[in-house]
Amino acid sequence: MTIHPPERIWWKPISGAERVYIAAALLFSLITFFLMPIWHFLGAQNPTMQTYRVDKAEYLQRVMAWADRYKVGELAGVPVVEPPPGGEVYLLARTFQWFPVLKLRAGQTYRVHVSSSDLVHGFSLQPLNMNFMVVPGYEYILYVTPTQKGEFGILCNEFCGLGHHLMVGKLIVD
Amino acid sequence: MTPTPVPDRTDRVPFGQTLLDDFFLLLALGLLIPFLSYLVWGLLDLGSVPVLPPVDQLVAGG
Repeated sequence: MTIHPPERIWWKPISGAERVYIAAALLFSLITFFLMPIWHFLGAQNPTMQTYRVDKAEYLQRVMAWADRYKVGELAGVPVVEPPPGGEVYLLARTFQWFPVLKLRAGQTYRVHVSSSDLVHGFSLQPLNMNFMVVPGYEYILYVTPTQKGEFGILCNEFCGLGHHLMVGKLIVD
Repeated sequence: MTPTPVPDRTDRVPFGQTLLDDFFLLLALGLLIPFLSYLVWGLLDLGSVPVLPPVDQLVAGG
């Protein structure tokens, strides 16, 4: 017996089971792809926000000035700030702290500014599980209306160093 | 013994076969497509982020 040479034209129409497999894989890929933008709206976990480029030092100064202006107390050395309803809210992420502690009113819409003055951090509002990245040099602005009263934790969910696990802030809604 | 099939040299090679037989083309596409869709698009996206305007000029919904 001799070894047959390979067929010159090996391209053949897809047959039966392979068609079903490809169709199923394609359908699964499309579903999981479009679930990303759909869940953005239905899941209410990763909010739509405006993004602007900022200077890190300038943002830090702006947060400090705003916190000084609306400070109403202190919690474990961190200022508690209560801005006027419907106003600007500033949140600063830095190693290893969320600054300041925010005190907001339920039912009021605030314009929340979030940025970092040093590294990439992850904003995670618990237990609501709202999450997004906080990148230095970029200011994120989102419109937030607290609907539940209580105390909420702000965790850092992007590893930022040795104190990452201690980076816990607080949001108070009354 | 069955006779060896004689290939017909006049048959046109399907495009799919031409594509998959050219492994250097596949290498180039494998590098080019992720480069354009991730790196280039990502850099364009980052470069298009505007500088923060004065706060009183911020518009809801951006």
